Amino acid sequence: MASSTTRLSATRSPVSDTGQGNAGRSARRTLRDFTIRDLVVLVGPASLLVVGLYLLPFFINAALSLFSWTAFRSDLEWIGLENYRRLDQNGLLWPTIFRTLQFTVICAGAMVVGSLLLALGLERNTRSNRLLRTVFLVPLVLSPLAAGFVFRALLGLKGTVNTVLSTVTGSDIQIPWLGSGTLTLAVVGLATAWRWFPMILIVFLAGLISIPTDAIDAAKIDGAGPIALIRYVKLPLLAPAMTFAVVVSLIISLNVFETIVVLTDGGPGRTTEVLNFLIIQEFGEGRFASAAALSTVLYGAIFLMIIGLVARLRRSEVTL
Amino acid sequence: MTTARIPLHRLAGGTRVGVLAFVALVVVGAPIWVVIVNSLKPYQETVSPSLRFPETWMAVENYGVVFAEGELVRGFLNNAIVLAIALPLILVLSAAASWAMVRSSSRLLTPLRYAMLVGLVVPPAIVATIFTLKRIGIYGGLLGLALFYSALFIPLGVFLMIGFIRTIPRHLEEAARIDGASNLDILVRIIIPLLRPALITTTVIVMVAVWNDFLNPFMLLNDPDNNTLILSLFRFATGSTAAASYKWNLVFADVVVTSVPMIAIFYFVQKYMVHGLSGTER
Repeated sequence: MASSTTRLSATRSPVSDTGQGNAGRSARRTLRDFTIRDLVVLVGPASLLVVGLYLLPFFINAALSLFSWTAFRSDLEWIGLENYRRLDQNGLLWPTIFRTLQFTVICAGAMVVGSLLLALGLERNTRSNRLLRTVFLVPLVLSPLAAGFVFRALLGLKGTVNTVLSTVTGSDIQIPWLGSGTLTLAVVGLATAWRWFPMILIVFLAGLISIPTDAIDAAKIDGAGPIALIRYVKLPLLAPAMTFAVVVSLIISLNVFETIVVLTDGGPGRTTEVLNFLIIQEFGEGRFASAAALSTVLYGAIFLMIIGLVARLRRSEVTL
Repeated sequence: MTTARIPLHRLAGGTRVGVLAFVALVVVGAPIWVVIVNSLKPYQETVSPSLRFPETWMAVENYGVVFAEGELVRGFLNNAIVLAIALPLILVLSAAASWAMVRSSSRLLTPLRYAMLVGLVVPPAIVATIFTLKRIGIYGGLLGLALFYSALFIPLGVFLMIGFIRTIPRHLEEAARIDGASNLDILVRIIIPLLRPALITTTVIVMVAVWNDFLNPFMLLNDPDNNTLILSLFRFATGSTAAASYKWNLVFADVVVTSVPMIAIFYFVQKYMVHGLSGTER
């Protein structure tokens, strides 16, 4: 209804344009751009929310890390870098950063490599591929907390994985997946990757779909086999999708919380205590400003990473 | 080169599908199967959760306990309240902002464009958000959480809608303006109706994200009466309320109940999702 009337007047507008000369032209200029008042009305409410409750907290966070603010003393007192110094002296700062990097490499690496392989396998739009894509998207709909419970049941000493391994080998296998330092950090990383990899898979599938078929046909005519096609045509043309996938998977890995709290609660010892987990823990124990200091480290890392990778994207983007 | 070509060619046919199906079965199928089948067993059979069918079926009992003690109704209502506040805000404000961002070349909008880009990928600074909400005086309740979610997802809404608005011919708006329509008329009568696929995509992504979120409500709510569904799952499963403390039969029954609505929604709107996402990807 509404669209048919607007269509009619759309065809009529050029007539009024030619008929009225100057008046029509000036009317068009005002139509092209919004006035400042229009912009304030249209963009204002959204900006207010995004700036007030999302952007501003980043700056408040950095500022808070320079004050003393705990559950026991709610008045803010300037103490400079004391929060950072105390975290360093307690041996919390650098080991946690190092652990977070290890976790991130494992988790993001598994997500990117796994999703890329799956995307290359699921690229063609066949009926079986469409079904399989749906199946691979399921983890993304499960809550991360529930995913944590699932893996705790799978990976316990008497968990499903050990039970299956025992049945297959015929001996009683009890691998402490969640109770042995380095192995556990990797296992939790993979469990986290399981919950989030479909997001990266979508990024790669979208990237593969956007590769023009001419490029692929041309390479085939030139005699490229499937491996050469992937190596020399698809991967270079996937560069933008790759950068986006790497950024997103790094950010996901840096912000892990649910799977760690359910699977290990930071243990055994402190071996799975990554930054985001420690932030929440410090906050929970009432050391609010200390948590803000750790957050500042985390967001500093995230912003640096994004700036670096976006710069790289600008350089390496392949255009046809 | 030539030797590698032969198996890959064969992989391109049935074998490739077979391998992928096997991976899907092990990586996705098996964990989901463990959840479902163990939610139907008595507690003794889930001490060591296995892939086997139950020897004794306890479906009615397990799910009965979840519905009786899982605080599901309250969690569901609280989720509904949060979404009822956040979703209209996200949809309308994102539509208005993205319309202005597409149609205006004003330099004033440049900082906003960067802010939206940051908001799309960088997760929120939750500690300082608590501080901010406390200062405003809305910390701890559902309104604060809902407004926080609005701020968090407006950048996503803008990202998804901008691509669509670019495809809307300018003539529609110009014609409406000549007919005397105000900005509000154009936004409500022309832009928003044409944005339907992007609106649906945004709604689904926000619904699933809010429904499944644990950390933000965990940090931003301070009264058990305000608990969302996933917080009720946490309380139930870790045993701070009921007898469930890591009893897998009960935990998994709760996992099934809290996950099914989102899986159902996701399944039914899949085609819209692909459409809505590809509108901006290309």
